[in-house]
Parts: sequence; structure tokens; C-alpha cells
Amino acid sequence: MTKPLHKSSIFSFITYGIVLTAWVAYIIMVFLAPSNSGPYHLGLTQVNLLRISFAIPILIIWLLAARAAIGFHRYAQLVKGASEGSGFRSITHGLCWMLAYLISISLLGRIAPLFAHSGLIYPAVFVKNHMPVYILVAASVHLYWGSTRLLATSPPRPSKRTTWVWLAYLVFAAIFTAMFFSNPTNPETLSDGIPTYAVSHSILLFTLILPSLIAWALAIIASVNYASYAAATKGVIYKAALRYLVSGIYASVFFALLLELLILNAARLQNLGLMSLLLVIYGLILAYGLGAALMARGARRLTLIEVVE
Amino acid sequence: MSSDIYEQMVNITEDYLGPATRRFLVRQISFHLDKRPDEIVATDVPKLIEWTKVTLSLLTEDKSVVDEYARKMHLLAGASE
Repeated sequence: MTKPLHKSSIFSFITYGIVLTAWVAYIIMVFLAPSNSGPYHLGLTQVNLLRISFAIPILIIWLLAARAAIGFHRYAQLVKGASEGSGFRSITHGLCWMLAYLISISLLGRIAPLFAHSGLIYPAVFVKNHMPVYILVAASVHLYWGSTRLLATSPPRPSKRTTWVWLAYLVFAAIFTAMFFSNPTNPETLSDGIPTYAVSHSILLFTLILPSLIAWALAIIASVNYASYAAATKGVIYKAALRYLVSGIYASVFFALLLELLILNAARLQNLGLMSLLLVIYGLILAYGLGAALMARGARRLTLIEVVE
Repeated sequence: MSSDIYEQMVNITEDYLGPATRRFLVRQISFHLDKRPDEIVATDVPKLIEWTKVTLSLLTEDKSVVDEYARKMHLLAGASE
């Protein structure tokens, strides 16, 4: 029992350490950036208060995401030799990549403006746009692998919801792609002088849109698989704990979808009032926070089943 | 006989703990009875029921689930005597 817990302690230390270091870097870059309030015409104090009001929820989200990953890492260590062990190990990897995705979106968004007046602005913008998406693909792949490995340990029940899920997704993918292409032709400059994209839409279709659609499709399949596993597996107490995992993953996938939509339509959002924009952003933060908290709770309950004497 | 009792306990407990059943029972038997699963005898079952009731109460807020589990295990204890 001591070895898995010792490994979990090291993992916790490293994960929280990375989160806190990333947040300090984020705060430094936020306050070093020019205090440009764009179309909202805010004073310096108001801009700084707004920065703090975003920075604190961002830290909370990162910590919640870290807690979910740490919780599942601990559980995966406890069930390492069991048939479902590899599935939960993949879930842990997926949640770690999800944490990396959340950090990368915020950090890279702050790093790119540092190259605003240099020849590296376009590569910086390219990395800022693409790296989070590829990290999200990695997260989705691991969550998908986890779901298939768990399903393999128990006979799944046929799900009648799958067809409707796919139809809804195809409609969403079509609308999303159309919305993207209806954006003004890039390179497009926002009010702070930084282009939105570094390459043309036709290239972005394959480097950004397609990977995003693949990540979301895998995440949706994984969510449906986890729900099927929770339905098919035995044990009312075990299933109750799994339900938190399933709900948490659905909430996180929903959040990731909305966040990408927001990022890819950033130019349109400039037309929103400040209050509307804040509501959108805080709503997203709440969605992911809820998802991460549910997953952490599921991990805690599953772990309790393994350690209680 | 001992492994029969253990397997019957597994069958009952699986309805509550699913894939975690065997790990849970091995831990309970080892910690509270200081035995291995193949060493379980019928007279051990009542004591084990009392401990697993307490443990299951930590895992669920639903008292009816715990009571139902204890009832099934008592039936097993009665049948094994």
C-alpha cells in the first residue's frame, strides 16, 4: 500500500508545482503586458482589477483540473494490476493532457503579444493557435483509449443514443466549419496589433479545424463509452462513483468545445459588451470547474472503495 | 468449503462493488479476521458481516443498500451453518 501512495505523493507535488509555476508566469506576463482595454475604454485600475478577476478563477480551474488528474493517478496506482487498471491509467494521462491544454491556452495567449513588434510574431501566433489544439487531441486520444479499455472489461449494452449524438455532432461540425470560413480573410488584426492567424484559412482547415473536429469526436465517443461502461458494470456503490466520472467528462468536453468556439470566433466577440463577454468567460470557467470537481469526487469515491478497511 | 463460502460472498458483494469486489473482500478478511479467503469458515461470516457493514457505510450514504447487503450476507451465514 505504501508504494502507490508514495508515487502519488510525488505526482501530486510535481503537478501542483507545475500549476503554481505556470500561474506565477501567467501573472507576471499579465501585468507586464500593455494595459490596452481595446474597445471598452477602461482606466488602468479597472484593467488591473479585470486582470485579477480573470487570473484567480484561472488558477482555481487549473488547481481543480490538477486535483482531478491527481485523484485518478492515485486510483490508477491502486488498481494497477486489475483488468480495469490500464483504462484508468489512460484516463489519468488524458486528464494530465487536459490540464496541459488549459495551461497552454492561457500562457501561450500571453506569450504571443511579447513578439508583437518582432519578426517572430507570425510563428508565435501559429504556435499559440495550434499547440493547444494538438494538446487537446492528445487528451482526447488518451480519454478515448481509457474508455475502450474499460469497455473491454465489461460487456457493453447497445446505446440507442449514439446515432443522435453523431447526427448532432455532424451538424455542429458543419456549422463550426462554416462559421470559421465566414470570418474575415486573414491575416486579421485585432486592436492590439497582433494577427489572429499566421496562415490562410485553407491551410488552417487541415492544421487547426480538422484536428479540433477529431479531438471533439474522440472526446464525444469517449464520453458515450464511459456512460456505457458505467451502465454495464456491476455494483451499485461502484456505479455511483463512476457516475461522477461520466458527468465530469461530459462537462469537460462541453467546456472544451465551447472554449475552442470562443477562441476561433474571438474577432466576433469584440462586438459584445463587456458584461456579456464577462458572462461568457465566467460561464465557461464555471462549466470546466464543475466538470473537474465532479471527476475529482468520482476519483475520491473510487479510491475510498480500494483503501477502506 | 472455505472457497465456496468466499465465492458466495463474492457473488453477493459484486452487486454492490462490481470490479472492486475481490480486492475489497480480501482486504476485509485479511484486516479483520487475519485470514486468507481460502481459510474462511462459516463461523467467521457473522463477524465479517459486522465489519463490512461498517465499511460499506463509509462508501455510501444510502442506508438501505447497507441493510440489504447485511441481510443477504446473514442469509449466507444461516445457510452455511
